[in-house]
Amino acid sequence: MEKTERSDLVVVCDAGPIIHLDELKQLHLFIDFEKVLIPESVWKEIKFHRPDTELNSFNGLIIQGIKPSNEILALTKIFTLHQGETDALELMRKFNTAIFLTDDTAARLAAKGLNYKVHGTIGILIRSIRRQLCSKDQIIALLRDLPLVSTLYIKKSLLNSIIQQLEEIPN
Amino acid sequence: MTKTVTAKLPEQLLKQAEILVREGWISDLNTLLSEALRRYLESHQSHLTESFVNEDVNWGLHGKD
Repeated sequence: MEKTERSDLVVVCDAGPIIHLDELKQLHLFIDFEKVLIPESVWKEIKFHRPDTELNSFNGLIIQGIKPSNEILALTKIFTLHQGETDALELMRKFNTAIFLTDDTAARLAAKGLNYKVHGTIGILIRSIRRQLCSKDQIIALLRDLPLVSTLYIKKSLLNSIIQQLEEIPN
Repeated sequence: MTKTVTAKLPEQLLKQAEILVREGWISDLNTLLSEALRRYLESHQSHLTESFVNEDVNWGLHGKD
């Protein structure tokens, strides 16, 4: 498949999308982003769950130690977010035109409250069709396998409806 | 009405919860666990999660970035 030019998008990552894309063997999709910013706490969480995760070879990867501001700490307590999610939101404050990647509903809700752009694993997978990084059939196959190979839990009826939407788009 | 459940919890998490109870910040472990569960359920409502996934599908298919 012919690859389009890399986008100039900067993303800030929570652990979920990296863990889930690793489980699906799709970490290569991060190469389409100019920069992938990951708080140190998130990186530790990823390495705890997936010790063999390899993103280090990607030169757009930036792992950054960060101290959350009082404003972010107050917000994340309301949403009972973990340290990684809290640190990622603090990074978003510094890179507020970036896209925040998370699969956690509460973290997403908090980020939307701050007017940040937020997406998750499903968005990255489907975007890869539009970006000509993967074929529609590849992504449909991955979505079918999702309950078997990934810890990303999506209601079966919703997953089926997504697959159906993809099947209906022209090749 | 209440129901008894058995759950495995990380030891450290349980220790922290027990400290809160011991210090008197909350009446007992049952109340703390119920409150923690209630908060989780409030911020992880099914319809919210579903709408976020649908937003992802829309971005994936039709986004500009």
